[in-house]
Amino acid sequence: MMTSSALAKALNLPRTRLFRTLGLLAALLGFMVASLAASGGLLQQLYSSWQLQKSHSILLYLPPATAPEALTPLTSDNIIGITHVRVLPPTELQATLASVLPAGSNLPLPLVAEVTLEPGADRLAVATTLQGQYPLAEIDDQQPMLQAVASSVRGVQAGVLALALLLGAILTLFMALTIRAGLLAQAEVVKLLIQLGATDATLARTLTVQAVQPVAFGTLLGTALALVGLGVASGLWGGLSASPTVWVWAAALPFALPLLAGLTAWLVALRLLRHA
Amino acid sequence: MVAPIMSAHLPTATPTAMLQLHNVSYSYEAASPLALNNLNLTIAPGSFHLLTGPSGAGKTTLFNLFTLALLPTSGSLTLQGIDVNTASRAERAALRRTLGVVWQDFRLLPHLSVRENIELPLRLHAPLTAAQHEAVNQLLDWVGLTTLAARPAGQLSGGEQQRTAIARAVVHHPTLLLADEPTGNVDAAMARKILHLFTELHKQGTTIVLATHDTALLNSRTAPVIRLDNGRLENGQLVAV
Repeated sequence: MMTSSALAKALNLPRTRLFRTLGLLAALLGFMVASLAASGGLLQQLYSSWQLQKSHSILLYLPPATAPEALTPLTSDNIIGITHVRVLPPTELQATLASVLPAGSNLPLPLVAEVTLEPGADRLAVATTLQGQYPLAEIDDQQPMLQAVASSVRGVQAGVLALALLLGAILTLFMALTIRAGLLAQAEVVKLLIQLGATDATLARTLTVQAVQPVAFGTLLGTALALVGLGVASGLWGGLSASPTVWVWAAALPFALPLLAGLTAWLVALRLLRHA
Repeated sequence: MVAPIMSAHLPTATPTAMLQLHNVSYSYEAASPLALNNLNLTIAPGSFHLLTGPSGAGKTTLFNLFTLALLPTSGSLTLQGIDVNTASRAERAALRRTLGVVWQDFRLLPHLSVRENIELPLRLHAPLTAAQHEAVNQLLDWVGLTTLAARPAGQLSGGEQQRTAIARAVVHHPTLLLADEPTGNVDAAMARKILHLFTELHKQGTTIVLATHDTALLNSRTAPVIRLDNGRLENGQLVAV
């Protein structure tokens, strides 16, 4: 087995001009992948928090003339599944209905109550009970909205994943071309090393290490910058405070790049050596 | 000189022929004329052969077959008992590690120092040992390159490069030493030293094939001569060993 330093110095792939751009590209991709992972994670975090809040409540629309006292039985009767009932104040109600009310409208507003449910409560059973108790009420259990938002969030996350895969594909293609160009530029050296008895595996391993090093370094740099950005964003906007899971994903996902680079380099190097 | 390097990939029993060609032909392209035509040749272990012939006779092609840089188009070439055509790439790599080759164009790595170039065959296997380091020092001294050991090979003169190439070819104590015009770029005194080294290696059991145009060298030695002309052996099909 050739000692890595001797063979690395003999091959010296990083001398090729194209190879020097590899670290820069990896830094850029590392930053983008870490940022995408953080964005995807934060979106999931915000969505989960919002969904948790929305899925634990039902809106009850009562006719405009209804007195707030009509809601007292909901809390006093200890209906199973209900923990809290809150009447929406007029300002919040106007904001909620703003999109459906004509501008400057002075139509009488309904009495709207937000009924908070216990975690794991049977929403359908509670809705049926509410409908039984208030036959004139309109009940919005928010399921269509929850489904629409869930669908949108999944769509955005799928887009983020597709972008990450596209970046991975770009890196793979660039790696393959770089390794190929590097090997072709060093064809005479490779031939000599083969002539001296270096095996394909030894040469491929050295080339792989030489390819992975700048990618790993670039990824580390790009990821560090993205994490700093995430930290700053979390500090500036309390609502964006990332959970530990988001940090772990943002820090770990970019390191698929050096793994991908290593695998690509190994396969391309072996293929080219077999045709050398 | 350092101890020979053994390889797990190669048979341990001594083969009856170091190198054997049976009906070997070679052509660079399918439609082109044969560069080598139906050669039969046996080189016994421990022998010393000279290889010669006019330009275009196929000398370089035969030399490249011996070094496993090329494989026969037809026929069989057996090196140390292994048919190189059917050997795996790993086996061929192991066979190459038992060869010492001095190319006419030296094939040094210009960005590596003289010492690093010489050490390359040793460092194919493992990090350099203290004994090997000392052996390299002795070899550097012997070829008169001690003071240039740290200089990049690309900055050497032709003669210095040739001496570096010779040191690299012998540093791992090869079983078969193949040299193409090894005295072509050195003065008479250094040429004598190089031939003396080859003679010493031969006495220690190294098989040597030396390609040369040097008539003085051809006339001065009693070694069997492989004469090529137009891709064929001029002096019969089987050279005496």
